[in-house]
Amino acid sequence: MLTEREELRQLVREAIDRLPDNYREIILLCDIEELSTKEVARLLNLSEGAIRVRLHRARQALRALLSPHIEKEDL
Amino acid sequence: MKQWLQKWLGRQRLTCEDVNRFLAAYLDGALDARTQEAFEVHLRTCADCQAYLDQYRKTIELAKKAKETPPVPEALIEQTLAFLRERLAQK
Repeated sequence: MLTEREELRQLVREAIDRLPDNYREIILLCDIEELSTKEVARLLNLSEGAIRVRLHRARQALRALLSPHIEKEDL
Repeated sequence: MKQWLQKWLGRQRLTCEDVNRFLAAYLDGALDARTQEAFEVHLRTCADCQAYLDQYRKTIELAKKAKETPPVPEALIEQTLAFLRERLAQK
């Protein structure tokens, strides 16, 4: 039987999987692998500003998918 | 022009839209000092933006959880140890 934390982890993974490829990629690199904006910019051959814009949009999309869980989650 | 008036007129004021746009840069520590000050002033006076930033941070925390490995159940550890002890005793 899955614990509550594992269920939440699963929900987050599923939400990340539902994101468009370029959003999923930026969330994985910046928020999950915690690479710096500079490193990701070099990796994706984009400016740091472009990385922040894409990351912001990706986080907004993820927030929309996770909003019911964010409200009840006490982090 | 008096210095205080110049300072007041020169103070940057941000809208909720600006704050939303600068969120990633703010959390990345990439805003210049003046914009960061204006950002924080806005946050102190705007409950909606404060709540949004809070949810934005929670989203990032949730994303990090996707990487976590689930803890190994205590019972499984005990069972494995018992199995290994038994194997060692047989040798």
